[in-house]
Amino acid sequence: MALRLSTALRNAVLGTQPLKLAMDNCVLKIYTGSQPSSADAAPTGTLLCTYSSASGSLTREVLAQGSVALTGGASGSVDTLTVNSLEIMGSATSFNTSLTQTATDIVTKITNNPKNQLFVASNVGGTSATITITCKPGVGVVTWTVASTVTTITKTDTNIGTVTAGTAPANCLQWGTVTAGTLAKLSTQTWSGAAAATGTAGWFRFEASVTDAGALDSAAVVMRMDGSVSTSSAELNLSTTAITSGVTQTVDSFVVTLPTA
Amino acid sequence: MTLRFSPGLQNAVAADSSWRHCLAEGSIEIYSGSQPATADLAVTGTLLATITSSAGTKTNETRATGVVTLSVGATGTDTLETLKLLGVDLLGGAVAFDTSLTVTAAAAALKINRNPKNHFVIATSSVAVITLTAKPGFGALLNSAALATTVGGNMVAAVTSTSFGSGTGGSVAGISAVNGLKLDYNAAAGVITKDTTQTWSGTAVATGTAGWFRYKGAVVDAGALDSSAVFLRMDGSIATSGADLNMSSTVVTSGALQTISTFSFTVPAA
Repeated sequence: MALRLSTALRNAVLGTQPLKLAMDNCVLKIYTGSQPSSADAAPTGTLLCTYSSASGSLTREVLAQGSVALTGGASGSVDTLTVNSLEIMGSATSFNTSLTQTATDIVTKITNNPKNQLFVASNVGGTSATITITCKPGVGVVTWTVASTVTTITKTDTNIGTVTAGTAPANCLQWGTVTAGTLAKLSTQTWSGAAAATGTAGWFRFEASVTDAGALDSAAVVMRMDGSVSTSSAELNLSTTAITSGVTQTVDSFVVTLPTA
Repeated sequence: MTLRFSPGLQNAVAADSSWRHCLAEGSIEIYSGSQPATADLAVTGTLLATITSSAGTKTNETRATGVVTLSVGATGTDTLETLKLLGVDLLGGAVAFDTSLTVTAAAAALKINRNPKNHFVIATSSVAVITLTAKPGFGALLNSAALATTVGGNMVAAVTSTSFGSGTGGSVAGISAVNGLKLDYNAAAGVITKDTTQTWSGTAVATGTAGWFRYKGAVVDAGALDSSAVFLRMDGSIATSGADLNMSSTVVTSGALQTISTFSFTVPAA
């Protein structure tokens, strides 16, 4: 009986993006039974209904990616790293021990650079000399130039959209304007879906824009928000929790309130 | 005895930026007495010390702006088709003239603020003028970034500022903060922490007993009552243990260097 954020969503809100952008273009699913103890857990119960914009067919987002591969050298530095002409590293990064460690240092720098608001950097958990640059949710289809400058170190730059081509989401759910610390459903959008099964709604899960297989997320990579369903006093209140297969279900209002303390 | 967030911070974390981006390049002010009931209130007590990076003088961030002015449009076939910053369409779909240029500009600003592709700016409008303000943290990075519009029908949408952050045409050139406090994004268990490579310190400007702190965002904040939910602030208690900020001693002596060795912040899972 509480709104629960997955670890990935908590990390995103802390470090990389606001709640709205993290959960824009999301999908709402309603299940029978009680909500799992954690939003990292796999869903339980029977999936009763998947909500989209006006019951439209869903296309989930694919985040566009590019990369910088450090290919050689045992000294020197990576001096600049720009994407779409924006410098995202913040300052030069010196060679440190190995190309893999240098890539890890660059990932840390990009991650903690206050001026980087569009990209998430990674290097396979610190085990690769290739820095993968992933667009944040919402960016969709882009083909931006990745360009680095180096001293002594050699590298290969691959543009955003070439490592992974982005796919724009379609018919996903969006949020409206924030007021007084509350994030509400976009009032101009209809959140609805035809029920896939018959049962009593017990809990819901918002899945972020990217495809979510619904498995246990031990690696904190899947952004989700869970809550209870009832006819009153729940996080999501329905006029009735009795859902019949084939009947269109609609959510008229939904609000998330951020704490003031 | 609890962390309290200003309405401005609450709104920003919901809609505009992560906690880390909201508070990056900020500063911590340490006061005597008890913390105010809410973080939008004016500061109380005596300012004992301001904590910055290595006690350096802080340059506050100035957020860059770009300005677009609508004119001529008068019917529903007159449209603002795109408004692109660095090639990214901030609008996310055409906006048709509606009632007046004032109403149309307001509709465009709303559309920009709701666009999931917009990670750059917060839009406002006044009469027929749309002002785009960079989100906290960008500083000078977006100065001179290309800003362009396309229109349909008879609509005219002039980039009054020529480019984003040019400092001309009613726009403001961004200034990057200097000596502000930085936060690390440590994904483990939903925690952000003090940047371990930074020394958070400041020389006490008065003598007293530390009771509470205010963590301010990067932009200048005079510490007055914030009725408009503008300022990004986080208040908390100070003690030697069990507080939001624990110090080895709460006794602060004017002229003495104060250092914060650790600071972390957790977003609850529920």
